[in-house]
Amino acid sequence: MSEPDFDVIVIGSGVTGGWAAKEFCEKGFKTLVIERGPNVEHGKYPTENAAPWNMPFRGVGDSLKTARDFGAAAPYISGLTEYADQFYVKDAEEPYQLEPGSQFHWVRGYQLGGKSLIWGRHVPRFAPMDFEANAADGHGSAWPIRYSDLEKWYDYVEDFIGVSGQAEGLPHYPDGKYLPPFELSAIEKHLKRSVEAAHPDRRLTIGRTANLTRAHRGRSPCMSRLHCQRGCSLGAYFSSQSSTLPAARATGNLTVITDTIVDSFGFDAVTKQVSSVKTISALDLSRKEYRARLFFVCASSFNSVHLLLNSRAEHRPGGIGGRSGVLGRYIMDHVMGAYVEGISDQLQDVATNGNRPTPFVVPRFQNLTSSAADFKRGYFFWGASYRLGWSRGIFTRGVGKSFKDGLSKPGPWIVGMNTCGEMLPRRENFLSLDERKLDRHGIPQLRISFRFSDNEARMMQDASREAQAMFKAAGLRILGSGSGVDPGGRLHEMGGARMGADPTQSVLNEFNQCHDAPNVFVTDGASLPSGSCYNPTLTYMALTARAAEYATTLLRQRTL
Amino acid sequence: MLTTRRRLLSTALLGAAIVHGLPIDMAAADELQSEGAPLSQTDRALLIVVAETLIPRTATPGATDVGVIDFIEFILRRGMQPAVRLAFQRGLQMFATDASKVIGKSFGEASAQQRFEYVDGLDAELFAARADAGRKPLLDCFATVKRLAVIGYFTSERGAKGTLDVQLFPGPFQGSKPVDAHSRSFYEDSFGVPAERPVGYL
Repeated sequence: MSEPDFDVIVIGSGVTGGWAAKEFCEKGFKTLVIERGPNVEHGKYPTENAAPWNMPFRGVGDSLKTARDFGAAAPYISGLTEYADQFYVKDAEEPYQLEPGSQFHWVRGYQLGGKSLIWGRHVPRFAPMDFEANAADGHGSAWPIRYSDLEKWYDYVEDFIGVSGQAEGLPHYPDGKYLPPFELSAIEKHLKRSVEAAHPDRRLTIGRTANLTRAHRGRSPCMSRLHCQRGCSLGAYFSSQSSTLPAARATGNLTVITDTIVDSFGFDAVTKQVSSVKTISALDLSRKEYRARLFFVCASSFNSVHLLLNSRAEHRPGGIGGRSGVLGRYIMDHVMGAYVEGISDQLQDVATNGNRPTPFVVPRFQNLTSSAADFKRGYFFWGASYRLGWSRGIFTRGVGKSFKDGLSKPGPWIVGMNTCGEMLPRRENFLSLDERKLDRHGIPQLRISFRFSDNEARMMQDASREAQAMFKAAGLRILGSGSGVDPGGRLHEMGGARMGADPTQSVLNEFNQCHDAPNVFVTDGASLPSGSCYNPTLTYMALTARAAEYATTLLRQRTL
Repeated sequence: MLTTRRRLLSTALLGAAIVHGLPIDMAAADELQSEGAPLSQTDRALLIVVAETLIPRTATPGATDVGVIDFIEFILRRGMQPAVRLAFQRGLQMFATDASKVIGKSFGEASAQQRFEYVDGLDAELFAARADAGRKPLLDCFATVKRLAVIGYFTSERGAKGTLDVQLFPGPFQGSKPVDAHSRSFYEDSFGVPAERPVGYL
């Protein structure tokens, strides 16, 4: 067998790919990162400092183009603005198939850094109960690890990336290692007092965010512009560009290639083990193969599963992990849709200054110790507030001088809360390949079968009731509320290659290593057996760093 | 919703029909998007005066000073489906006719006070939400003009710097900064420009 080109090949350069690259480079391994999208250089973000008057559509956006590019998904794509749309994949260019009756919008970011450029930066830890949820109610299969296995890795990744937050001492919302928290607004403090007085078991706190409130490892603190999705040359939020890739590059062990799609793994003819990745250029469709001892699949949940499914051979007709019978199965998202929005004429003597990059949070309070609620699992609220600004003129009665002058002064407070809930992992939600429909690179398109269940519908109704009650009790006049279930696809898609102890029930072992391909690891959201209600990205980082350490011992022992 | 960008873009397609709602026709967005024709001289002159009535020059610049008409024309030509643009243009003709009838002379020839009273009357009618089907095209058009005038004014450099708190680097976030008579709205809302009036706002 010919010598590998690299020790490690990392597929994808987003949150987990960047982390894998950093870890392996720092441990002395020659590492190749293969990114399917174009290069994006840190500090060269064309719209970062643009004011509305610098933009063709004044920052409001070209609505017709948005509809053409993103279709019915557009209203649900968090962070999609005129300033940042270059970082979002256009469905028209990268189509996928949806099983009739499924409701899902697959949001993707194909560029160096992936969705780490456009993510919401919210980084709570999963709670201990999240790792036991499947075992407790029988939906999905048991996690092979517990919070205690991951705890020091949460510490490790938080320490490197810098997380701002407020320690709260809640066992079901574990604290991390935090930089100073962002401030709550005046109206949020009011809401907090009201909620906590009425419900001693509830807490309202500031979000835990991968934005810096002081300088950290050479990166500058946040300037409260909320231009994050455009890219930030201050490095004030975590992205591969600002954080992990520079660390990897500094070792001299990193090679990055962009505009290159890994469409399948190659197998050694004799050993039948994975020995290479087969790539297609996104620019000219030319093909190239790269060999390594170890492969870390960090392509984003559904892309990672796609790669495993598409890596078929006579000895692996179902792809890598296909023999488990669960490859592609048990995909999940976070359920959203319940919301409340309120208005207040109080506290008019204060306003916020700047745009805060993190929401406030009401951590999960349902189904913690009792199961009195009419649904399983739980949800949390995240919310925001501000004094209405000039744009309230669009729906405010008034004409002329007094109208104009009024808009240049802060208006009433608006507060809103949205819900993020844990869905039950179900076998009927799954990914497959559509052999009849190829994408423009000649690769079978992904087919998504996804529906929420009655459990999620009841959960949103509960969340809506609770949210409205909290707002009413705080004296906020409710402007609107919703209790329905949004379509899936909120950037938190997970599962399809779950971890587990049993190779007939899981694709990966407790270290994210493929049961039937010991030199292939999958460390992004595809690996999750259940989704928690909390944002999963910090957990992906922790899993990646932990898996990298384990894989390193195998590399050093020459097992791989 | 004002605290996320949800549903922002779906209704932005509708141009005129912000307050009164129209069914969303995503398929229509696929129609060949030929850029609309420039404004006629008549329409341009009328829109300049309507925008100036909405946002007049006072101690700070007015709509004409900051070129709001150019933004309105840009959106008409590039930001509207042809059917919506046509409805808007019809609504504008209705505006001209109705204003003449009410004021007793053309809108352009009326005094500033007459123009103010007419536009203020339309605005009151818009917010009374009495859905008189015959008035709908006119009111939809007016709602669009108001929306575009507000956006065009406050996102212009001169308009924003003259009336808002423009800070490109606000610095550490403050949750409770004291407000006094001189305090201004921040130039950039976290969640962008809302597409529609929140139910129950007034």
